[in-house]
Amino acid sequence: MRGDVHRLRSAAYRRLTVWANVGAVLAFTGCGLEGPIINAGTRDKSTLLPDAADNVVIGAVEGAPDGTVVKAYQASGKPFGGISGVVAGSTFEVRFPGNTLYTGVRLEARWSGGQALALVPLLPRQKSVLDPENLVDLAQEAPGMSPLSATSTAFTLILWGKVLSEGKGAASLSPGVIRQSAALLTAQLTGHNAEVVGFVDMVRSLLSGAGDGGLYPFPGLLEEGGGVGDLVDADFLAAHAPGTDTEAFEQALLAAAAEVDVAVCLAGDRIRVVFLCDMGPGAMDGNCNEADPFKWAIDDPDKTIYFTGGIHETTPVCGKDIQPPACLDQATIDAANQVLGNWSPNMVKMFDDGTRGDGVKGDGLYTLALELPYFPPGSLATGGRGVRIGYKYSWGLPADGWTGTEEWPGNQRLMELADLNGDGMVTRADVFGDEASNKDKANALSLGNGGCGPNYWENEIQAGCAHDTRENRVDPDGGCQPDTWPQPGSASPITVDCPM
Amino acid sequence: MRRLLALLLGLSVAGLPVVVSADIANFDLAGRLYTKWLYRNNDSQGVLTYGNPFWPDDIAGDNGVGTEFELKIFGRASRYVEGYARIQSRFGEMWQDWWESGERKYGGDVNTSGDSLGLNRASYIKLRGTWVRAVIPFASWWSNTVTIGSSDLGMFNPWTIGKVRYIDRDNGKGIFIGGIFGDGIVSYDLAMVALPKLYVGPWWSTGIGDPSLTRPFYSQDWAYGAKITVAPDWGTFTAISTLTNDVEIDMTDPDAVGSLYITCQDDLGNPIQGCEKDHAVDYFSRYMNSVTTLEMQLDPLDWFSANALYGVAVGRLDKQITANGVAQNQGVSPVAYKDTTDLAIRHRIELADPLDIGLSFQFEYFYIGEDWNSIFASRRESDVLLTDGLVEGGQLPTLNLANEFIDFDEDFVESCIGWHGNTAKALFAWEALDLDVEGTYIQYNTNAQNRDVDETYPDFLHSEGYTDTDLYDYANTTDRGRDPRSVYRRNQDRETVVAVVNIRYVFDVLEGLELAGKGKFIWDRDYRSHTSVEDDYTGQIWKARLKMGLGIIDGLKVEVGGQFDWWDEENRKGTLEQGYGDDRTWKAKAFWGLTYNYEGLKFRYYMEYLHKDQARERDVDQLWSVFRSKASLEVNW
Repeated sequence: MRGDVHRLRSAAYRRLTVWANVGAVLAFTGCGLEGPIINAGTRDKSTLLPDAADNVVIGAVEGAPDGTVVKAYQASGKPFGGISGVVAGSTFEVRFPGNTLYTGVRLEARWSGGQALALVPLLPRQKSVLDPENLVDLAQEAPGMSPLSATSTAFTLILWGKVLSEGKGAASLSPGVIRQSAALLTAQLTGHNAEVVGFVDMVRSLLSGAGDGGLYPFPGLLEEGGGVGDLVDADFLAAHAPGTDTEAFEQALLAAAAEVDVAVCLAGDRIRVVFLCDMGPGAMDGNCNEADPFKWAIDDPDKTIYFTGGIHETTPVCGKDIQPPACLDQATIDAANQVLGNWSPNMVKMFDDGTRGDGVKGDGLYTLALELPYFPPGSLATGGRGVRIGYKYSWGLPADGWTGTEEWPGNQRLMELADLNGDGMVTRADVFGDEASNKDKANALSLGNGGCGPNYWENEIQAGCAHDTRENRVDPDGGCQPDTWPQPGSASPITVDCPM
Repeated sequence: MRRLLALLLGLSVAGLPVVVSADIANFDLAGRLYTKWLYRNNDSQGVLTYGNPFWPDDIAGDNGVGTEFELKIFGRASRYVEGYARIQSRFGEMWQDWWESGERKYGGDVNTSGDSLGLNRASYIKLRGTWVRAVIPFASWWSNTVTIGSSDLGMFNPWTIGKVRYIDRDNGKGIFIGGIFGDGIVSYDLAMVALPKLYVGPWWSTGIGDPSLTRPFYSQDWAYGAKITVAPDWGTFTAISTLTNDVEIDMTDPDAVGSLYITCQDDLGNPIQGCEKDHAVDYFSRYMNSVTTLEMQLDPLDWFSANALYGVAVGRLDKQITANGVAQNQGVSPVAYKDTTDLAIRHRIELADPLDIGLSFQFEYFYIGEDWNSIFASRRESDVLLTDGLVEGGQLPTLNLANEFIDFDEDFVESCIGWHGNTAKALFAWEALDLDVEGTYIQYNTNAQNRDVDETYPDFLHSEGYTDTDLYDYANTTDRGRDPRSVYRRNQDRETVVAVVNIRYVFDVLEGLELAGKGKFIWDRDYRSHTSVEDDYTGQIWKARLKMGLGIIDGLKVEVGGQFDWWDEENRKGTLEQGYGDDRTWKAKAFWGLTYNYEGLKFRYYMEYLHKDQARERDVDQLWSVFRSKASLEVNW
């Protein structure tokens, strides 16, 4: 009897053991329970945060009727896509994304019978995404620029003409220079400075005919390569101011500009580097053939362009043989690698939304504006080497892997930082998937275009072989001849206060 | 040596038959061939009257014939462990397709090669369902059955996790544990079911296709169910609780592909507090639906029984990761776009011939809250209410109905969400006569003024008019009336009366002559907006059907019959702004058919002529003259 009970208990125990094991295996190997349990135990503290609130420029326009549109232009000259304001009760507000720092933004109002320009010195990037909208009152920010009037128009033209006459772009105007110059010009105007008063009067006179026949005295958009004389519309002068020609206008402007000192000082050890990647249809590769962005990458409507790269191994590193400034120390290289994505794919996003340095929203030209360490190449101590970058674009989702996202496997793009056009920035314009540009090893540049296979750095140029490792020109007219420096979006050079 | 040879010979003679017979005994095969013919005097081609209303399928149409083959394999590994697999050919290839290979070499172009129509038209054989089942007798008074694999989910009830429709019978897969204590007085079921990616959730999916999700994640979406039944001699108590949980990736987790914060920086590049890469990705619930029912069946007397069912349905929806299907999908959504909680009550009393004269009675009270919704409930082929309802296929407590993948001779189901009312039925059986009479009164918990059908409650776009299930079209290009899922309207103040009489008598002629008749009247009143009387709807729906079936010889039966419908609907369709119109519909249907069963062969043929005349006050009148037929041949072995 006792033996039977013992056997029964043993059998029951064995079944219990089997059952418990089966239950445990089922519960934790794929039956849908382990996920929620582990997830609950390991949840991060990430939370969804709002985007940064807008910067809102508020101001007034002298004489403008309600409904007048106030357009905004980037310091580089391009209009902001989708950013404008409307005059109501002689005042207006224009909203700018708070996640982007803008300097030297130009405002323009046009209406039948008038036109007015002004410069907004600085729209700072918000400090926290939790901060409220930042109201930028133009009257306080730059008194000489508010309200938008003949005076603000004249001051804007003076500053604009001043940098143009010195061969610089309007983007090089630092906020401090704009504020100080506006204050100085205001003082000179009230002090009856003849040149300033004379130019302001000329502008006021021209503005009296604004809008007649659809003509306005001052262009909203300055053509590429335009000079001081192009700041006034010759057709308008011919139609409405026969006594004034462009030379007289330029002379008067420069005379007034001579009364202010527009000093532009660039940071010597850093430089703004702007990468532009064209994903638009019809983009041409280095052989002037239509590029195929999806030769390697796989398209998906939710994907976007990412950048990744690092400081190239041939960049001079400070040590016993090479001394600053023509080299980078290890800490600087490490920091720059982090900024460049350190060769992790799909982590550094490029933008085509008109923010963070991007020029025009939705034009298929993706922009990444970075601040990188810099020294001019050409030093004998380094064999002419400068700061060199290897990089690559990818078409992916955030944190995606390489497969199906990178432009091509294996190779990298090469670029040596050198400000060739003197705008205080390095701007590199690429076409996604273009294997005939600055791809390093298996470069597809055709023999007819000078291709030799590999792409060589400037100090390693092979005779008869083309090379492409620096900021580059683009070919906007489709003539298969890159002849125009690209617009660096809304990015500005890194300026610093000039030494006293 | 001689001994050794004798031993080997003995072993071979003795052992071989044992091994062979053991293999055969452990196998069981079942085969089935099914052929269906469809005909209609129109120009659509295919072998399924109503296909999928959303995904364009290539098998739906009214003219075609196709065959499918099914093979079920049962295996017994031991006394306690069994296995099952079903392989079946894909239905949809028409006989005229001849040599289709399954290729689709020419994109969407159909041509005469054998390579243009794709796999749906090639009758390819596919593994449809598998299960492994183990019986684990823990003790003499407690046994368990563990099933891993396919199930039709029939262990719960239509309110919670419903039995899936026949065509999906092996598609549901999971882990199922059933146990019995004692002599079956206490039993239980536990289930973990992999959620179908297609229909259990907002946007009829567990994430795929939701515009708010860039990377839908559906491989960890599960439903969980638990049921316990206590069944003493005098009744049965059943408690069921289920939970469907659709999880999605936490897009703020920097480890997730597609994360908003891959570098743990916000819009300004500032570090996000608490954000850290740990190479582990978190999930959030996109949509959860929990339904719990308690059902009590009491049988205290032979002639008296009572049933009570109480339920609570809870829906939780994360709007951050669920796009608004009401606002963005023209009001066509299987869920309200909000968190919901509501109750359902059903009381039923049956008096089974209490006077011993063949007269029985059934009474039912039902209450289903306006926010009740059971996303994983039965979608068709089931019925939770006693009433014949407005359509004949049954009433189900979900917006997730499936009036699809059916032919014209199959019934539609309707949603009873918000229904509140009573049904009384009297059933009389005397010799060869069966007679039953039903009266149902329905008012609606969904009655409301200015209900938000723009952002919150789905109205399924078409809410007006009596539903014509004979001539239904999903996109409503033919003014077919209300979508059976349309329980919410902007303005509704509605009540409905349903009266039904069924009569059946079998004469002793040949193999039996059956005469059956059905009469149905629906009085449907909806005052709609309280701001105007111009929109008040009154529908009077009359239906009469007479059918005669005659068994000629054993296995052969013919039937013939007809049905007449008269729908008189005041202010049937329109808008408050532009007014409504009175519409009248007259339908006549004549049908005939036969069934023939012969030595395992089942043949059925059905043909009908349908005439519909719809006179519309605000629109041009419409006429239908439809001949259509369906035949099927089935052989099982």
